[in-house]
Amino acid sequence: MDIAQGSFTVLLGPSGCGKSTLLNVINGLLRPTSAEAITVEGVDVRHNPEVARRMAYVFQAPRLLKWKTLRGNVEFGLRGLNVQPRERWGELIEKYFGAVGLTEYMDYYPHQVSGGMQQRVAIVRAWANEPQILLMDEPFSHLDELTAAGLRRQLVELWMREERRRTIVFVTHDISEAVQLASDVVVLTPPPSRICHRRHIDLPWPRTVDDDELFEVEKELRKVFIEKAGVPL
Amino acid sequence: MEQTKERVFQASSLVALVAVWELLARALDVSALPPPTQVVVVLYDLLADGTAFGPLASTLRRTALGFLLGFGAGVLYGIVVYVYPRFGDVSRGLFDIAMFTPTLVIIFLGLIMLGSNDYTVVILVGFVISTNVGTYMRDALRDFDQDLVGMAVSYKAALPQRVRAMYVPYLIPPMLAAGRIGFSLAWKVAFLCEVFGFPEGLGWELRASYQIYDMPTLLAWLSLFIITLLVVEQLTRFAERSVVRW
Repeated sequence: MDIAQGSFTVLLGPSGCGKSTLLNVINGLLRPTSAEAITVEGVDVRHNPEVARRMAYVFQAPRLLKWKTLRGNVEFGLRGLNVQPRERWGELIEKYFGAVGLTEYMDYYPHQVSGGMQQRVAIVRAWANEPQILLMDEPFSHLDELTAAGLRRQLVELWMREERRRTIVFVTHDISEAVQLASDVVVLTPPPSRICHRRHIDLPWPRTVDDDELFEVEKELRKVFIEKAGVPL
Repeated sequence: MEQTKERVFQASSLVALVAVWELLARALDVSALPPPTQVVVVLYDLLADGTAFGPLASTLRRTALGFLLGFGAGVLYGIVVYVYPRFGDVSRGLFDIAMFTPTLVIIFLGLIMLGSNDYTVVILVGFVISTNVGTYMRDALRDFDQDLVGMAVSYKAALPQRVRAMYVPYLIPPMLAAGRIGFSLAWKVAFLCEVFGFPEGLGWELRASYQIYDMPTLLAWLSLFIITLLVVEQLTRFAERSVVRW
């Protein structure tokens, strides 16, 4: 599978098909079983930690440190990925907290804000590193639909605002979510997992659920899910 | 507001205890139970003429040294078990035996085998609380959220950053709780060591009062023991509130 630079690629597949495992392998959290299984611009991620430093990860749960303020949590990511120069941290933090509308909550602790706000902080933690590749593992699956819809919109705005400089690899099992976000959808089968379908979606953002063209794409992907991925819907 | 309420309730239970004590002393009118006013007078005298401070300092010194020894060993044990779970499996049985053996038996054995000296008391205090603190720390670290470790690894946080920003803050509340329990236990063990075999300190003073059946003095020493424990408890709670803001 090739993922184009600047694309918003959604890996769509049933639970247990290995979507999260694939993200973990891309990020270097798990080792691939063969050399050069994952390359970024031709460089094997296994042997080049600098490549992994150009990635950031948003998990299903926010995974915030409850003893740090929201700002402190973002700084944790900046320090870990060694973002330089350090003098820029303040500016980056302000910028991305502002982008998701959380500027006034920066000095709050995680337990003082809602689950949706915590997940926005997780996105800021990833985005503030200005990663080349952003890995997102069902980041909105734990949220109610209204909150998730708002966050999807903010995510796309953030990505568009920076002229699609970042490549996003987004995992979901939600077909509607996939078609609302993706520039490219890759459909995976249940285990043993393989790619059964690829679809480029050439529709502008922001997308709305009542868009007829989008609905057609969604129908097509549902059909693929039933016929090729073998998932009964 | 909530804290003030909590304090009022705590204080009211102490006042109730003293009131019940006073009523019982009046009703029974026996030398075995002197009224609290009489005990307070003795305690005041002990404090005013400085008699109390020597034994108090001795017991506190032994408690503090034993506490530091046992607390350090307990925390170290918890960390080693977290890093090497196999060591936890191997040591669990021994730890359980040490923890469930009656403290008095350990004190008797220690005093017989090591002799009645300062070192023995410090070692005994350290030994007894290390098993409790160690178990507490082991269980606290076992519950550490492994998803946070995954997050830290994905953000390439180096070990020093993980220790400083994740493990230490995570461990502060259980360490303070273990410290509070550990200190009260250390204080009791040091006291009992003195009661059963060491000719100095609060415990020995209490024993001396018991042998001559001087109940007001016995209860005055006991009050001093309890007051010290309550003061340390409050100081630890204050530290907990100041440090743990999340």
